[in-house]
Amino acid sequence: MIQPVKIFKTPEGQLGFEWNDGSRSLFSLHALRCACPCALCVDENSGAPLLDPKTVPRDIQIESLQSVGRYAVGILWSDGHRTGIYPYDLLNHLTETQ
Amino acid sequence: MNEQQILKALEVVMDPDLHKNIVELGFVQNLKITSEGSVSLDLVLTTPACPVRDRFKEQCEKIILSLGATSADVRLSATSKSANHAAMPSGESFLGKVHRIIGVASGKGGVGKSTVTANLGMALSLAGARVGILDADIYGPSMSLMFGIDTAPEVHEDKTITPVSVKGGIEIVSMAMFADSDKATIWRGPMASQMIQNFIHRVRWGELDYLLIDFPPGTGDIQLTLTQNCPISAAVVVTTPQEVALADCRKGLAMFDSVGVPALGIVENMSYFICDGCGKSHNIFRTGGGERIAKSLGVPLLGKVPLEPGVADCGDLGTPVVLRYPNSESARVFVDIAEKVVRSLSILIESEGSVLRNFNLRWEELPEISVEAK
Repeated sequence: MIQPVKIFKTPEGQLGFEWNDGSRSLFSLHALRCACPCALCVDENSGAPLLDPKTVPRDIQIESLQSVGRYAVGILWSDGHRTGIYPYDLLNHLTETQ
Repeated sequence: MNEQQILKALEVVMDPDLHKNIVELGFVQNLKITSEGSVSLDLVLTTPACPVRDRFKEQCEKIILSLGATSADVRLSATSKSANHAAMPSGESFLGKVHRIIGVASGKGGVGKSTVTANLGMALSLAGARVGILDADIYGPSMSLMFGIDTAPEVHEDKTITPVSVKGGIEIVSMAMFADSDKATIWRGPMASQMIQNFIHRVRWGELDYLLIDFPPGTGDIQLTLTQNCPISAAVVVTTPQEVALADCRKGLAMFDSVGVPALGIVENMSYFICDGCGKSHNIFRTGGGERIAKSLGVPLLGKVPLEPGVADCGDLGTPVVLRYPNSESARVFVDIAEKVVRSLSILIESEGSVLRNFNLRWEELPEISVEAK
């Protein structure tokens, strides 16, 4: 099970995770907000995107990050979006496919 | 004989589970040598229920005496390294002082989760640990019955709850304490989830070594609330030997897997029947189910609890069998399971090392690290 040992930001304003397997993931905040897997952003049944990336502010910020159990991080965004729960394996998978 | 020599000599005492010696693990503290040559030290273990504590004590004392000390005084104590140190996600919570949280679950109902939880709790408590039990089965709470509780917990003005202290010093909170036993709790998911959140965050547990959570059967709303809101260290899954229970047991394990809670192992309940007439063991159901599923899913089988008519009424009478009939086969198996749980949990926590748990970080709080582009 992939889990974070460190969460950090870069001078360029990216969000970074260091995982327990030694690897790292970096995310631009805008891309991460657009990748939100919650039911308001992605249709639960069809998996079709419901969020239009154009409506996400270019300069979106993270207000805070919270652990959700042992498997995910919940992110509070500056646009008021707070339902996104990002499982660690999704985050890890996103870096591989980025 | 000086401190260095003693520490060097004590390095031969290995922790059989963590595969490191007790000096390296930092167990040896407050080492003192008097001018008369008597040596005293504290052996600070990671859990008070450590099954090898007496062996450690004996070994250390022998080693110290062999170095020429006039007397050796090894005091045992424990600091459960808390797995839940950081701030709780949802504001104030009393879980911060709870060192380990163990979920006891099953996919199927009626396999004896509550019996296993009660006896596991009692066995841990008898081994010297501070134990709490959260009965999360909103719709069918049975923990009050298991311990014969008829008092209600105190609810304070700030809506926090003081758990009820029962036999063996175990602290318990159960839905049964809040509802009329003859009335059913007929709630939709959100109400049940709200109650569970109250149980998780508003109960004044105080300092606990182990909090056992008796999960409701199945893999639904409440289970998800528990795994998301509660930093569960590990889970134990209870099953019976029949194929129908095993199929659901797999689902229980899969649920914990998907939320990143490691499974310590499987307990096979009602494994066989010990006849109260002839004392012989009879297999009522197919045998080997627990072994098979443990093998196929790669988790250990922690133990096989028999059906014993002589002790089966313990739960109904309100005293766990471990306390009431400590010499019975059932009690022996539960104590053995508790030991295995303690050992595998400390191995697990040691191996997790610096993994982040229970964080609630504002953006400004994040450390800034520059990473070179790949």
